[in-house]
Amino acid sequence: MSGSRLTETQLTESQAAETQAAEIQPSQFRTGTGTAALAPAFLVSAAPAPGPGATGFGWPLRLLGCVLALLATDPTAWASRPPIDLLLPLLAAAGGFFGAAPVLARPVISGFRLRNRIARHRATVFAVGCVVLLTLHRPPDWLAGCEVVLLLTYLVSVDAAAAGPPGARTARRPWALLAAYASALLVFAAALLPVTDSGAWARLAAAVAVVASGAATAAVLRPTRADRPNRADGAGR
Amino acid sequence: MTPANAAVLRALGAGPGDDDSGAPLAQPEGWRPGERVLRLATVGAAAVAAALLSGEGWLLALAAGPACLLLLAAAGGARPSRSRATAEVPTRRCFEGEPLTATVTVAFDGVSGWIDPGVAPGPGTTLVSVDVTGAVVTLGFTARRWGRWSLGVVDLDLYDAGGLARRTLRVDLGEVEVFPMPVDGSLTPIPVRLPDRLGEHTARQSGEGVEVVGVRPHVWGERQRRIHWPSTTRRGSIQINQFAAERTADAVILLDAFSDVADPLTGASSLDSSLRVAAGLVRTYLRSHDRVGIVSVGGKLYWLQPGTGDAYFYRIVQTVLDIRRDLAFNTPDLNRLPPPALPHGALVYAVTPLADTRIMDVLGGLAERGNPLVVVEIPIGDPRIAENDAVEQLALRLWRLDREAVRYSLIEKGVPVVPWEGGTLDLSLAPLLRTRVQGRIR
Repeated sequence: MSGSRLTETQLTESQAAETQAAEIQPSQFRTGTGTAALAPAFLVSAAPAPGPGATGFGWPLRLLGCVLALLATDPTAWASRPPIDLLLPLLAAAGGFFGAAPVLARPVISGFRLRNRIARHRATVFAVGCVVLLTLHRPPDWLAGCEVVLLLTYLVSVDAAAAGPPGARTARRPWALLAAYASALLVFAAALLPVTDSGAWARLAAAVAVVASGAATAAVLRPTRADRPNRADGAGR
Repeated sequence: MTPANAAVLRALGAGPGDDDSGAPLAQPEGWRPGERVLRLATVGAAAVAAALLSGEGWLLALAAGPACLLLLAAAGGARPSRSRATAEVPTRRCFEGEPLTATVTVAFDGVSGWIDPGVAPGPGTTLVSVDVTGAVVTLGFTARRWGRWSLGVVDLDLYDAGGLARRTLRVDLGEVEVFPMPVDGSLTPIPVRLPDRLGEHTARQSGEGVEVVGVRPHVWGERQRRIHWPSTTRRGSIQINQFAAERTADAVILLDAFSDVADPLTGASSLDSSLRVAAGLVRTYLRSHDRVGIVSVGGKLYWLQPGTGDAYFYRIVQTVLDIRRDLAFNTPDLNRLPPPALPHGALVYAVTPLADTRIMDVLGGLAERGNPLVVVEIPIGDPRIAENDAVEQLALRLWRLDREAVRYSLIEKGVPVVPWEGGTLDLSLAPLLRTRVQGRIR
């Protein structure tokens, strides 16, 4: 994917503001393959769009969805529930199998019925369903941590499969993944810490959370080599 | 499934067979949230709401990850404020089965993370390839059926750098002309009387051709190299070879566009086959330097007076490319045709499936005019019936008898009916070479 990236130029903020303010004539538009740098135009990525043939994500995501849905029903409490409640894991697994696969078609309106809309946004419906199940069945702490990680993994994977090059780019950036997982686990740990408002642990935890969030954001937003202006192109000068 | 096929299926949006459904509704202008932001925001909002309602603080951790992903995606760069897409189709005329290429170039300012093309191809073309290179989208089509078609519209989804928002640019690819693939043929039957113009067909009149039609006594002043010595020796006087004149022929193709019947077995369109046969006849006669014209009946009346030359083939076909759009239910009056469209004594080929009785009125009118007339019947296949249903079998038998009666009524009027069974036209036209086609003009 990186071979097809066309990110070559970036303008400084002042230059970009000046150019935005100026009236841009139609002839000054620059295409992604043009050479004249009259307007700040460039394409971050021109990778081929994901299509129905990108089925490499299909079965792994179904498997991940089944595991996510089953764990959301709190397997540790299955033995203590009445037999009729065991239908819930079966239904959750079925929902994970059918709903976890991402929709790879273009986002066009195929119908205004609720059935069509649910089919279009089935990955979102599935993820929200898992949140509802977790709300109804409070799992043990270790299982809740697994759920946090699995749900975030599922969302990142769906983005990589269905959101095109931007989603795939996020999945390939380790700092971005680290920031997302770290923030989720940080909030999770903060929620489980036995602190009170006036205790020393509360201030320490708050300080650690602030520092960690700032460090993660700075680490992610710092310009990488690929994002730096291409001096040979001249657009950034 | 190859990536190329996957890109085509994604661009089509629906199945590959649903490309006749026309262009989709126009997307609203301006930026609107993409599916990625809807998904992440919905999950995050659901987790926050669940945490607030249930009092379980750890559920906020489920919202932290999506919120972080949204934050990172939103920091990608300035989204394009102005964008424009232009389409270019280098070749807008082709024959059936030939490829067409359209190039859509997107110009914009700011940063775009993804260009996602969606294509609604026209009814006569098939999308075969989609290639996105930078800001240039190259679409490959194959012309499937003859006609003057809209090549389709392209909806380009222009995403911002993080893939959170998108705007749609619609580009119309314009019209293309797809010419029918002419049916092969080389035989050119001719009428009894040919117009008085030099050509390649042997006329019954004597003239300056190359075909010997007899001998006659020598007249003083004639060229000695034409002496027929065997006859001269036998008769004792000088005999001269007599040659036939060589004349051109006028042919007019009458195209039946009253109905378009689909073959129950193959699904082939009778109108498609009719124009292919007509194009084959036109090309065959033009190759022998005859004058060919065309008249299409059914709906709007299209006609072109006979002419000659290789370029005239394209003029003739272009004249009738729109017949599919103008199907109507009125019976045309051939008497309203200007005389140059149907010259006196021109050989008329009526290319028809004989599926509409209104064509019989037209053929009857032509026969009364006295033009030599040949009916080329386009097969439409028998209706499908249940094997064990006696009523349907009886109906099929009646249907066949009815068509036989139609053919018989034409033959009884002196109009030869030659069926075209697919393949070369020579097999259909060969029986007409036994004698010259006769009309009422003697």
